[in-house]
Amino acid sequence: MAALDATSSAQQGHRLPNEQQVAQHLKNHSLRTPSRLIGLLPLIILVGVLLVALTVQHPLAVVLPWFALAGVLIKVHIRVRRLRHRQSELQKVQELSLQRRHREALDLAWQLLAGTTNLPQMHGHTIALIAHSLDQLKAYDSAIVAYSSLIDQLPQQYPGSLQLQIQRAIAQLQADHLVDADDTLRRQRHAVEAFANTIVSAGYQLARLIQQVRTNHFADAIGQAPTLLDDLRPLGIEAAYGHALMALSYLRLENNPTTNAQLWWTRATLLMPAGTLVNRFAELNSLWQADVLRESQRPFDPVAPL
Amino acid sequence: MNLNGVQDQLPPPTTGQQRDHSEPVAVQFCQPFVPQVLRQQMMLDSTLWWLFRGTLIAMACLAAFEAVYLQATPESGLSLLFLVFAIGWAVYGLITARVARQLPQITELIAVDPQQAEAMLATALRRWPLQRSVRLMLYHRLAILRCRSERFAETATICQAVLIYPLGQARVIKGHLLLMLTESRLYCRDLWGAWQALSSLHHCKLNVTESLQRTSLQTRYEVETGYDAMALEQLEQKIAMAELMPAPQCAAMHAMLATAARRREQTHIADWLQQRAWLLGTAEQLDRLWPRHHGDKIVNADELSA
Repeated sequence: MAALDATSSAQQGHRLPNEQQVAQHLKNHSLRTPSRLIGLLPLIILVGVLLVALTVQHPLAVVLPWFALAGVLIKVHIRVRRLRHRQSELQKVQELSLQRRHREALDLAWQLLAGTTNLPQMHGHTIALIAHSLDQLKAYDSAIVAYSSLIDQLPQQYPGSLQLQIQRAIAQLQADHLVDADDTLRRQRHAVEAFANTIVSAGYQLARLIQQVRTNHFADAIGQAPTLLDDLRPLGIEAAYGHALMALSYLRLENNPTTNAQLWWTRATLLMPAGTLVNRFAELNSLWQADVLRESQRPFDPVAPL
Repeated sequence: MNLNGVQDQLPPPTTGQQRDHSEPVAVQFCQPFVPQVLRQQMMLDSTLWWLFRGTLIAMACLAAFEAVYLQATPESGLSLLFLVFAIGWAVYGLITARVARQLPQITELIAVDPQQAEAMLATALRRWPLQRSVRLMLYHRLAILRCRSERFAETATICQAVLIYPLGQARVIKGHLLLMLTESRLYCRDLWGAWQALSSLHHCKLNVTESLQRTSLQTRYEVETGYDAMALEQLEQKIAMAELMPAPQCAAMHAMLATAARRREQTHIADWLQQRAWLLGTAEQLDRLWPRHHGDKIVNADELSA
């Protein structure tokens, strides 16, 4: 009943599921190890029927194994079809997430979770997509619950686990759980070194930068400036968040719009519109309001006259 | 966003880019791919599969006939025949299932340890009998491996050979095979071949990731063949799609579009694209993915460089 409440309340209104609802949903649809006996059941039935057919003296015994074989084949066929359906649904969620349609991705992943409880890989993937969607929809506390649930299932040094821990640390920073985030980032410092120039190390650098800005350590943030451009490149256009935070650090430290702040803000707005940056990090609003920096924004209009 | 094709009709290369029919297919590696071997393997697999299916149906019909009309008992030997047949079927299924289970592992290894992936593939390809779809999937993985190691001539040969056969349950790989075929032919400077593969891709159902790859390859083809105006059509949509790609591919796409814009003397757009390319990808990545970017000097680079 609680599961039903959690599901329906998350599905009905436009409200996003809170952390209790997410925890309840994940608990109700937790991973179940597939039984070996159930897996071997078709074979056991087939052998049993064959033994009966060989021992019983009846005309029906001749056709009985064929019925059993047909039954097993139909069962296998249904199971494969069901698995393919689940895989196609998961792919649909991934595609929605890739297209940044996070609300739709969340709704679909939320429903899909119930059908993946005996498929470990798909189950983990679905939770990761739920967590990512919640994170992007700014439901940070709920996202942290989903991330934590998945991280607990994975080995600590597994690259996928590291990436999830970094994403959780960013969500913790966004939700002002600064101590938890600091703890995560400290523990990962050495593990991340093995993944230089990858999305894992880039995510870690971004998390560090967010942490430094959130804790007003602007001088430390500026210390990363010489390598930040290269460090953040694997993030693609999301590197813009890091560039904007660097601009903010320069602005806060020097207390007026400087050349460096302008430079980083130009880089950020080349990759992403200022509105999107401010929507993700509210503190960037002050940067957006700075008149000098507003002038350095160059929104792209490919059809504008030259 | 329309992800299923920016343009439905692609122009063929101009007469100055005639296909070189005399170009031999270079196969120069320790385990060279020979299409005839694939043909023999497929023929053997198919023969066995149809033999199995035919025997199964014939035996079932005979059993039903004996049971209904002749009132036969299991002494007729059909049940024993069934036992032999069931064991043969189990062995066939086990070999196929074992190889099929290795496929995800091989896919992972291609990214992290290509040598081990190749060793696993070599072992798996020697197995007999195998289900047709599983064998084709193995050759698909071999094509990925060759494409990753930049053996484009061999990749094109494998893709072309696999695409001749009806893919059946392995039809999900068709789009990816065509994408690899296009990419390989572009790298081999076989523009006619690339055009044919791209045209086939427009009749193929693709997922979002594959659609993004197709857009990238189509842009590359258009810029390589000098159809700059076509490359710059629906630019905003293409940029939005590029932003969904991994950072190096996103950077390369920007660099290609910048080349086209500069040749069309759309300097404003070319500068903007070039600057974004510079922010998104390293020089090494651009060298590898779009070597022509050297001709495009970054205008206003001092604005972006610290």
